[in-house]
This record gives sequence, C-alpha cells and structure tokens, in this order.
Amino acid sequence: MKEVMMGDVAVARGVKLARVEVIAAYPITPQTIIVEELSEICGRGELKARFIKVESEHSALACCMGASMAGARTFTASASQGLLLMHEMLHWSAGARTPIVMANVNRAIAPPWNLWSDQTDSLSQRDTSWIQLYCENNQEVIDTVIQAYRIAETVYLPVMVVLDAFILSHTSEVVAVPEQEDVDRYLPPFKAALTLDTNDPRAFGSISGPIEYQKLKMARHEDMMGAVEVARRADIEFGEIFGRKYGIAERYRCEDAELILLTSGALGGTAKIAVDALRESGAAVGALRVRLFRPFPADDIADAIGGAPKVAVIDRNLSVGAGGIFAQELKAALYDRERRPAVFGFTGGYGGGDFTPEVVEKIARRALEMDKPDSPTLWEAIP
Amino acid sequence: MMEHLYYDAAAMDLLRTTRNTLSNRTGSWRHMRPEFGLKAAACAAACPAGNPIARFMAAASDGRFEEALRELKKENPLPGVCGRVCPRPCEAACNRAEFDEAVGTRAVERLLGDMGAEFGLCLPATMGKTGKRVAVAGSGPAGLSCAYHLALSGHDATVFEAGGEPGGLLRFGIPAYRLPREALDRELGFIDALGINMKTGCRADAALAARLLDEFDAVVAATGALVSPGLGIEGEGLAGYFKGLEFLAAANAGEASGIGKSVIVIGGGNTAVDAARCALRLGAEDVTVMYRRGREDMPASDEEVAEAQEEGVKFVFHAAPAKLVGEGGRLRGVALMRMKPGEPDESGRRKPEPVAGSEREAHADAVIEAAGGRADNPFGRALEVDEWGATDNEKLFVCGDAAPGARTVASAIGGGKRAAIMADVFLRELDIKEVKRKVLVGGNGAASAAAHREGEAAPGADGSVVRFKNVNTAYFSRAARAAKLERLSPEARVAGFDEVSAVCGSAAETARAEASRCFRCGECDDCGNCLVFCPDMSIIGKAAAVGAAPGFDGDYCKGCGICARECPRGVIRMIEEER
Amino acid sequence: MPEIRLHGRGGQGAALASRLLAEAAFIEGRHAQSFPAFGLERRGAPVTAYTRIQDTPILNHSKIYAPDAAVVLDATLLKLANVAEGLKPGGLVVINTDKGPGELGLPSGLRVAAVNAGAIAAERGLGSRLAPIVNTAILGAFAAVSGAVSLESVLEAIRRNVAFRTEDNAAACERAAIEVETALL
Repeated sequence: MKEVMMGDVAVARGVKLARVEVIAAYPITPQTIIVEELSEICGRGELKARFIKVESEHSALACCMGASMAGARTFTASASQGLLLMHEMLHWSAGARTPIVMANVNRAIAPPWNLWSDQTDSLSQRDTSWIQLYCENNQEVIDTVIQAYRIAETVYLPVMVVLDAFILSHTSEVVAVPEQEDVDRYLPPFKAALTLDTNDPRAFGSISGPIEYQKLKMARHEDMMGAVEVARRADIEFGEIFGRKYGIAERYRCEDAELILLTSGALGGTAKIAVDALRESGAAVGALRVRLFRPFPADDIADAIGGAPKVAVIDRNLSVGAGGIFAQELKAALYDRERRPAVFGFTGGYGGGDFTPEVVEKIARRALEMDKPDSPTLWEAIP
Repeated sequence: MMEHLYYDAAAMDLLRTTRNTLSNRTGSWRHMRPEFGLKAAACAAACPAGNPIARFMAAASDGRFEEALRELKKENPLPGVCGRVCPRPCEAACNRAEFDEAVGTRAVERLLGDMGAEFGLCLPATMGKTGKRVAVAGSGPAGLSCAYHLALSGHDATVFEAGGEPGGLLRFGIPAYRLPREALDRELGFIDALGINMKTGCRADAALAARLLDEFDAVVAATGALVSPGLGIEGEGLAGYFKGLEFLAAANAGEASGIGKSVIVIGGGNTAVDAARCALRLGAEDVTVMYRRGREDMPASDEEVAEAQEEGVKFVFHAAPAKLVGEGGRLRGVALMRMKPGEPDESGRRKPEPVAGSEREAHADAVIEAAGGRADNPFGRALEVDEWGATDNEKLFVCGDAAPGARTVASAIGGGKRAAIMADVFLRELDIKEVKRKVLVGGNGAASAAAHREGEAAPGADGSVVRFKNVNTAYFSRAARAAKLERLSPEARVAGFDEVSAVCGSAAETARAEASRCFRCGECDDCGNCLVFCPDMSIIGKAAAVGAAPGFDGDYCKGCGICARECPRGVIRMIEEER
Repeated sequence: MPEIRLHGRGGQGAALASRLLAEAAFIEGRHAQSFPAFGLERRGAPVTAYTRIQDTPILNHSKIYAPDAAVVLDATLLKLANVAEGLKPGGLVVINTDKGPGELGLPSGLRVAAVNAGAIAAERGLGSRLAPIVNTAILGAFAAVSGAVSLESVLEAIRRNVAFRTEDNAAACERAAIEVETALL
C-alpha cells in the first residue's frame, strides 16, 4: 500500500512494523514528529509497546539499554544536541552489545542555533561502535528501519538510521508501506543472546582488567567489521521479499567514469540528476552513494570507484580542523590500495544550505578541471 | 539466514560475571537492617479514639468510601459524632502541617460518618460468641464505645442508662446545633445491629451497682462526671440560678424556658460556651461568659469560642462571682471580684487570686454555673482506677469521665475501648502484659481494638511513630486544603438549633480530594519504591493485603538504608542488626 | 515537471495545501513531493510551501527556485513578498483576492487567476469571516486553471486527509474552481 508521508512518519511506521516493544525518546526538532507519531500509534493500541517518557536523551538511551537487556526490541530517536547529550550512553549501549535502533535526524549543532540539515551530529558519533546507515528518501527510511533491526539483532550492535532534517524529515513523499506479514517473515521476534535473568542473576558492566577489556573491544571491532557483510545480506534478503534493495554503497553510472561523485543521504538523489546532465553533455561522471558509513565498507567503495582517476566527495558536514568526514574516511580507506584516485573534498550544504543539481554539476566541473585538489577542503554553495 | 553466529559469543560473555551473583551473599556485610511494618502516623498516635487515619484515608482517596467507613468503624463507632465535636488533636499533630497545611482529618471523618446514611452502619465482623455477660453502666460515649467493642469481641453487653434514651452526654450535653440528633441516632443504630441490650431508665445507684457486680461476668462503670460542685457562694438557692449540665439537658430536651434577657455563665469550658449559646437560642439578649482565668487558659475549643463570639456572646476574663444577689427569692445579679494570676498550680496554670477591693455588681436575670462536673461513681467514690481502666476488683473497669484523664468525646471513646479490651483480657484469661505491649497505637496512644481482636500489634506499638522527618516529601506535591467548613450566618444560628457548620462542596469530591492530601504516614501502599531503589534486589514479598509491608532478603540486604530513605511514608526504618 | 510554490501566512494552511496537492498527484498515480519552507514558523508571518509533481520517481531533494506556478493564499502578501520571484516565463499566479486579475499590479508575461477564495470559504464556515481558511478553496481554483492535477483528485485528497468540515472544504474547493477568473497579462 502506498501513502504520502513525511520522513519522520516513515520512521514511526517502520518502528510499528518492526513490532518494537519498548520506546523511550525525548522530543527535539526536527525529530519531534517521530515521537508524536509513535506515541499516537501506541496510544491507539496499534503497537503493543511500552512508551517511556523520559527527562532527557541520556535517560532515553539508558532506558532502551535496560529494556534491551531484558530482552525487548527497543527504539529511540534524536537529533543534534539531543544526540550529543546521549553520547555517553552511545558508547555504553554499544559496549553492552544491546541491539537498539535509533533514528537520528541530522541537524546542525549550535551555536548559532540552526535547525537544518548537517551530518556533523551523527558523524561525530562514529567512534561509539554504532552502525550507521544514511537514507536517500522516505521509502528508504521506512525500509532501513526494518533492515536495521535485522542487522542489529544479528551482530548485537546498535544501529543508527540517519535522515536529513526537513529535506526528508518534513518532506512528504510517496512511500510503499511494507505489509506486516512480510515484515514478520523478514524480521523474526527478538531473542536476546545475553539477557537479565532474575533466576540466574549476573552482574553486568562490572570492572574488568586490561586483558578482558581489550578482548571485549577487539571482539566488538571484529563483529563490527563483520557487520558489512551482515548489512549487505540483510539488504539483499529484504529485496527478495519486498522487491526493493539499496546496497551498502549505491553506484550510479560509475562505469568508465573519469570522476565519481561520492555522496550520502538525500543528496544522493540530487547527484544522480547532475550525473545525467553531465553524461548528456559528454562528461564521464558517475555517482556513488555511501549508505553504510559505520562500518565503513572500504572494499565495496574501492570496487565501485574502480579505475576512476578522480573522486569528488560532497560532505554535508565539516570536521573542523580536518575537513569533510566522508572524504577523510575515503582517503583512509584508499591509502593502502594500488589504485588511489585524486580525492576532492567538497563541503557545504549544512545549516540549511541547499545542493541543487546545478551546484552538484558545478562541483563536478571544478573537479574535472583540476588535476588535483588545490586545497584539501573545498567549499561550494549556492551564490 | 543466520546459520552461524555473527558475533563473538565467547567475548560477549565477558560482559557479565561468570558466576551467578547469588553466590555473593552481601547480607553478611550488614550491621543495620531495615524494619518493615506498620508504623503509627503522628496523627494516629495523637488521636484519643485510636482512629486508623492513614488506613481510611487510603481508601477514601481512592473513592472507596464504604471501605473507608468500615475501616474507621473497626476502631470508632461514632465517626459522625467525632467528625463534628472533636477538638482535632490529629490535625495539630499532622505531619503535613510542616509541608503546607494539616490534612482536614476531622472533615473527612465527618463526611465518611455521614455516608453511613448511604452505606449503612458498615460494622466490622464480630467474633464468635463467648457467652460472657458484661454490664456497662452509662451510655455516654465511653459506655457506648465499651459496649460496642465488647460486642465485637463476642461478649453479651448490657447497657444501663439513667435517661430515657441512650447517648448520655452526647444527647443531653451537646446541643443539636453542634451535633444534629439524626447524625447521633444513625450511629447509635449499632446498638440494635450488634444485639446490645439497652436498658434505659435504669440509674446505676449503689444498689444496682452491687447487683451488677454480683450478676455479670464483668462490669464497666461509665457513669460520667455529672455532679456539679456548685459555686460554693451565697445565693445558690435563688430562682434564676442554674447548674450548667442540668440547664443544657433541659435546653437539649426542648424543656428549658424563662431564662430571661440577660444571662451570665460562670466557667471556661465547652459546657460554659454551650450553655451561653443555648441561652441565646432560648431568647436571651445579653449573654456573658465569665471566667476566672485568662483567655489563654480557657479549656473551651477555639472554634467554639469564635462561633459564640460571632453569635454575640461576650467574654469577661479574670472575674469570678463572690455572691449571687437577689430580690424576693429571684436573682437580680452577681457580685463580682476581679482576679489576678498568682503562683502556678499543679496544672501549670497560674492560680487566680482575688484582687482586694475590686467587687462590683453586674445585673443578670439568670446565672448558669458551668465550672465542670465531678464523678460520683456508684461503684465506689474513692475507687483507684489505673490508666487502663482497671481497679482492684478484677471484674470491675472504669472509663470515660468517671476515670481520670482528658474529658473529650474522643478520649471517652478511647477509654471505653481500653476498658473493653481489659474486660476481654479478663474474660478470656489472656496474657495481660502481652496485650498491653501490643495494643497501643504508637506505643503510647489510644488502644487499637482491631489489633487486639486480630491478635496483631497495633501500628507502631513498639513506639515507632512517623514524624515529619521520616516522610520523604520528594514524593508529594503541595496542595491546598480541600475540605473547608461553611457556617450559617450568626442571625440564622441563634434563631434555632440548626447545625451551624457544613463541609463545603460535594461530599464525595471533597472527601476524596482531602484524603488525597494525606501522606498516609507509616502505611505501606505497595508503591514499590523500596523494590526499585534496592541495589541488591533484596526486597521480597508484596503487600498482599492493605497495609501489609514487604520484607527483605537477609542473604543479600547489606543494610544500606536506601529503602528507608526512599520510602515516601516512613514505613521502613533502619535498626541495628541483632548480634 | 510542475513545481508549485504556495504563499501564505503562518496558520493559514499553506503547508497542508502543498501536501494536499501532492496527495492529489499521488491519487492520479504520479510522483509527488511536498515540503514547507524549513523555517521557524510563526502565526501570521509570511510562509511558503512547495509541491513537486512528476510522472517519474523524484530524485531531486533540493528546494524549488523556478516554480511553474505560485499560489497566494492572501493578497496582502503581495506587499510583503515577491510572489512572482523566479516564476518561469508564462508562469501562473493563482491568488485569493476580491479584485480582478488585472488589478493586482503583477508583472506582465504571467498568467494570473483571481478568485475570492476568502468569501467562498467564509460562506462555508471555514475559519471566520475576518480570517477565513482558504487553503482548500484556492486549490480548486488552481486545479481548474493549471491542469497540473484534476479537480476530482484534489477533492479526493481533501476527503482523505481533511478530517474537519470535510464536505464544506470540498464544496469550497469546487465553488472556487467555477468562480476563478483568469487573465494573461
């Protein structure tokens, strides 16, 4: 069944279809609609979930952790400052291997106050051991929420589903809503590997020595690296049931490209329009949209780039002092490889800035004109 | 798709302790332990009638009024009476007073008592018949309470009342404008319901007293303190001189008349104020209460004094009659002396002394003496009565104004109950020390007949009383008093004997709102805080019945005291571990 | 590829109107996207909302700078905002006004459609006479003169998505489709 819905609503509908059992979230623009929608869904009895009102985002994630350890499928959502307040619990929940799913609506971080899209909030959580998936449109949002539970509950690591503020969260689009019975087939009930059991009480989160600590952390790293394959297979099997799949890094007209535009999030669609226009004009340009950011699917990305001599990364974020974050990740992923294209790190479009197909084309043309980047970080904006 | 594990299960197992934590018996660290169990709320410890305040408030706050009334009736047969005439020691002791404003307990009791019109008497279950016969002399509040509790304990009670109707002081001493007769009569319905023999018109004189002691298994004297000592001054034979209780009895029976225009009442207690207010209602125009001490020493309740002043009663302090002045056998006035406070007497109050040369005459058509009655116990004037109502004669007990102690309706009800328990102990040959140790609310307050009947300890019988410092106010929010009294206009009041006050608003809403303000100190309501906060998960058991409290698992409780601190209502206290 | 910009004041329902247009296109089996101008909405302040309609999936997630049509819910906005800004040559302006299309001082080269949506809405009891809610009425006029979506689809979109006074809204929408007056400037 298709419906017109906002990205925030798509998140909530995905949560409902995933038969989540415990929801704890604190509202913040532009995520608020997710919380409102879920509270109404729970209020109407359409989802038999415990909806826990909390006093902060930190508490929201702490609640989810407890519930997850008790064996419940859990969900939370946040954005920007709220996500930052959760930061400590992000590490904790991943370290405790609780397969929580969170929707984060990318919003700029203050100061100055700004409500619009900027990936810096989620990207600055990259070292928290959370899996991160970035969505291009609202269809992908609802589908990714469902996939996220499959991934999380397979590798026992939490998953963050990321969508752009307003560009997706408040934009209404046509969305095919998956059938509940198909979702039930795809996503079996959650059976926790480690649970709190009052009949066999154990202490969790106790202190440990250096050897145990390192063993745990390395095991988490290995499991995280394995999540690339798990995410890939979760998407493929999703496609088998629902007829839609996205890949973990989506290629668009990359064959024989002289330049590949690497994007993420909603910008991915806009880049495809630019690629079509560029190809039309005779420029060999392709697009690559990174959907799975953590773990970073280095092999998939290197494979997609193939022999292209240039990659222009368009980062809707900025790590101050280092540049765009996708660009850094890409460079690190390519360093050990034989084929190392020139990487142009463009940044912009955050804090409400817009990337039109024309701006993306302009970026591509700038990259095509240069042999190598004249600065590690390039800025492009609508004049 | 997941045929094999996609995570390192062996490493993940390091996230938790390998051993079951039950092996770590943290209880061995304990030097303090929590003690769960009902405690006495400060109000209950102060209530002379032993009302289970927190208990009935819990039910009333939830709208379960019938249950609330039933709880109240386990201890007190006359809530509609106490809810009107009690001077509210409970509210003076209420812990909530330190938070915002004391709970309007008396108003809730009154509303619940009056709900008897809807729910019936709501009497507690009686115990099996013992076949023992107990005589109770007097049907005032003490005698009624005693007979009631004797009947609940399964004894055959027979009450001997000198007047034509039961009620004693409640009927002849308290005017209808304070206690309407229908409220009294409704609650006296328990006499028939419990099968108590009521013999009216039987004055317990010395002859009857001797017969009762001879014929009954136990005897309780609740004969009051009705003997007026008189003023002991010249002129008491003049027409126009009345004794307070006799005047009140006539007024309350509708038989008083000819009181005249100007009336002086001598005394400072509630009887004096009632006599003055009755005189106004009988047509007197100028009524003065004259008291030999100051306002601060006056035993009458502030509320009553205020109402009397509103109605036009005047108060003269530091004045006493020297003699009554008459003409032709008819009272004309009083010769007065001014008094000044002297040295403190045994009551701690300063003894009034006459001021020489201060005599003057005040005009009066009538003088009512209301200086307080004296007991004239037909079972023996010089009878030694202990605080439990016991005498040297093991089958004779004394209660109410006939025994020493405070003279309020609530203390009479409490005294009657105590005497009933003592009689029951005698008749059943129970361990008196054990009973005495267990039945007093808060260890020092009124007795709990319900605890005695059920063989359990009264709340806080070990002396644990919940004070404000034991209440965790973080769990309560401030709320203004919901139960307020409204009163007739002074003009409407003096036109007759209609009830002066009423509780504002709808009874159900007001009772519920006011009861919701009660902290319910010392009463476990299964809020679960102890369970939630206990770091060792050693709170066990659930409050199965109302007021039952959980316990702790001694293997794991390490005595940290968090449960006691987080208990909103002081049910848990930490005590030293037994060595 | 019709791209439509709606002008209103906070609280007048411009954002809902843009969603209803997207719903109408969706009812016709087409692809649509609707979004508000992502701002700090305040009641009474000028706001804009956008709808993109096309027959193929919509990949573009950028804002709309050169719309095919502008729908103006309140003629007083003409003083505050340039409703013709960025309009494609020959673009359409649909405006709620009691004046004729030629009397509004809009630049030449535009197609202007005028409708007294306020009076129509007030007649149906939508909002108050002083502050009528015109979003459904003006969509009727827009459908009638633009051909971007059919009037039937707009009515169906109203019936599916407007829970309050549904039939009054539908009737106002139909009425405005009849009363709208167009002029080529």
